[in-house]
Amino acid sequence: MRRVLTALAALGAVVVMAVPAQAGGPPFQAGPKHGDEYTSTSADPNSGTVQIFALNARQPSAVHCAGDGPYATLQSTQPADGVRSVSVAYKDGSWIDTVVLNIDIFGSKSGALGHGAVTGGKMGSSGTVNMTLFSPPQPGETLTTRFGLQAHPGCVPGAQPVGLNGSRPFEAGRVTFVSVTTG
Amino acid sequence: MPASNGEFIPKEPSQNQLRIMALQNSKIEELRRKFGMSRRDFVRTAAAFSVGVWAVNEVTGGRWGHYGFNPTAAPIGPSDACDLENPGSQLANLPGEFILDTQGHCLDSAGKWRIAQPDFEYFLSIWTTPAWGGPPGITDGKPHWMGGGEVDKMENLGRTMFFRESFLNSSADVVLLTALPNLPDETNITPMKFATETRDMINGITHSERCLIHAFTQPNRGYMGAGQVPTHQVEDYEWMTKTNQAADVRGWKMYCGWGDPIPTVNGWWFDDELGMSLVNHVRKISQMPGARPPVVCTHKGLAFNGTFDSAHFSPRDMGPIGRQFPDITFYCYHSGYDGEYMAAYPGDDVANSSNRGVDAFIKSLRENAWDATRFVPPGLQHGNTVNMYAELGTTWWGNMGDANQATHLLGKLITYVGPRRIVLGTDCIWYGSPQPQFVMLRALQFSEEAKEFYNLPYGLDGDRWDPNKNALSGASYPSTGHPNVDGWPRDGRAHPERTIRNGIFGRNAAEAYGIDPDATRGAISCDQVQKMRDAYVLNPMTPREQMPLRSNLIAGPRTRREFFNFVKTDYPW
Repeated sequence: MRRVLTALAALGAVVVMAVPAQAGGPPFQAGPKHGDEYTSTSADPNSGTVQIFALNARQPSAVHCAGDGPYATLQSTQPADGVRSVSVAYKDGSWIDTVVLNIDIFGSKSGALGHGAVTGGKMGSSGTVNMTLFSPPQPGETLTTRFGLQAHPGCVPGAQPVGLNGSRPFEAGRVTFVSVTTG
Repeated sequence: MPASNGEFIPKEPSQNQLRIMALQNSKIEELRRKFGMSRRDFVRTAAAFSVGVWAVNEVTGGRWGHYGFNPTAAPIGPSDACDLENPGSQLANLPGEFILDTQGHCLDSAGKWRIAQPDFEYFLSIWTTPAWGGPPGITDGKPHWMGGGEVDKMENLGRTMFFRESFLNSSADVVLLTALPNLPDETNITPMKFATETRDMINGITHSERCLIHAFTQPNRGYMGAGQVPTHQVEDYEWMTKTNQAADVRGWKMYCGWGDPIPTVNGWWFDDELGMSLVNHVRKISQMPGARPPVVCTHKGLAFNGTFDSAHFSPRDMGPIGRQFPDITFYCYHSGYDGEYMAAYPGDDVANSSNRGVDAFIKSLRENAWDATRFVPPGLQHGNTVNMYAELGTTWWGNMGDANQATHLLGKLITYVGPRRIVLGTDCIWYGSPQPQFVMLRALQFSEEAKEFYNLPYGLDGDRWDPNKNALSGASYPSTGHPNVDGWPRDGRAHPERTIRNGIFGRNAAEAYGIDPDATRGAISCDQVQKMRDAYVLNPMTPREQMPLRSNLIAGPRTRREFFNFVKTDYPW
């Protein structure tokens, strides 16, 4: 029995070694970030810290609240061969209920391969988002994991005389990404 | 001319709007003399609709799209007369056309909600004022704010007006009466008893299925904090179980931005514990013996800031939930639209799925590999999402006044959601009669540049199973069939019922709701409502076709002076 268990353990080690987990921390690469004139965004590739802020002073109408909310990302790339899952770790995360930590995984040939999200609110939160890829990557392609914070465009709270808030007065979030691990 | 909802001083009309109005005025004056009609009578004719389409096209038609009733003709130019003879402006359905309006509304003006939810009455009053106006009255000897003509303002949005505007004053064949918040049901503005009575009344008159209903639900009533089951969730799920089959509910309508205990906070996402719990419950009750397939319909877009928790109206969760529940049909109401300027999809690096907007909806699908480009059958160039429908209530209304924006709206939805996954809702009765929306969709034509950009060589007249084939040409349907599409017609005849346009009008939704459009059309052609409409229309199927009671009224204040008069005399709050 011991021999069987030893053999199984050895086989498991071989399987794990065939697709070694690869962890990468900062510095990351800069990803896209944008927002309209009511927003500010920052994403520091060296520290892994992403921040977004929006002062919701947009002029509302009764129905619409249009605009471009804050969006800031970092990203990490690695060979996709053999990868079946991706984990993104973060720490010191604080964001209000309308902000979302969003993660997109895509291959240079396959397009979108994975997605993860953590909705708010959070205060001093840390954690790991584990994502199994939707499908195996194509041979030889590059895998990009893009992660950051995003929010909607909000309008002036209490836009109508009824006196209730719809948007928050501001949207804000800050988080530090620690590592991206493929497996 | 733009109107206010009574809450703000109306914007100055844009140069384009002024030009459209000037063109309409001059053409109407010319034509009403030619017809020997008064202006009041002429604007109630089908020809007047043609003039409107022509004027919008003259000003906004251009690089991406234009309005005209003949897809093969050049855009109507300034030297051309309006095509008054074209049946596109008339009430009778065009060949292949089956209109299933997936978003009709009306409310119970005698319901408990008027006491339990006074804020909602306020909200509806201001939103619908442009369509229906305030209560009628007399000012300086002149009648004003006639709206639908009812003394009780809310009755202008009631069952009778819904029936009149949707079934008599429009070309709709079937209308889905959908739902608004909230639970418990007895305080809903369209409670189930009222909704089922309305449906049964209409179907009883017609002896055919011309009205379907949704029911509202929510997972967060009695919200107590993350990780805790809301106080009323068990009770509300039990109510859903009882109601689903008893009321023959065709879909569950949800508003992620309807918070609790007050509507503006504590909304929910489909991919959080509340949303997952609710969708799982819909799946569970759909698996009971005799139940209909599960349909989840959710408002996404239109922020209603100040009335709802508007952040949760972002469509960012449509991709995750669609992918996770491929056995459930999802309708993204409004397609995420929130009044943004409509252009081509800007790309995945630019789009932010947490925004509200059609691009955010597309991004959500794309980041989950759930957009139509992932489901292109072998040998074809267009695909359809598995289970996600883009609904156009208010979205079409908000874009149809600009041919270029209207083209981009439909072009990108066809590309990323699919030609068989777009459904027209009108959000009427909130906007009065839906007929203008039908006339404009009949008339939209893609430019050559738009056809190339969106790979739609026949625009909206392409076959929705293979948009590279022209459904209006018999040559597209040879006896050899289609190598990559099962069931392809082989009769050498045109098949207008297969166009993308007619799919959007109702055949896509009919397929999703299990309705046979042609059998339904057959039943409708001799039903009582059709007879009422036939008796009600003057000069049917001619340019002089006239609806004598058609209001054509946008009753909201249009100028600064009208606004202040409105506030002084009509503002009841």
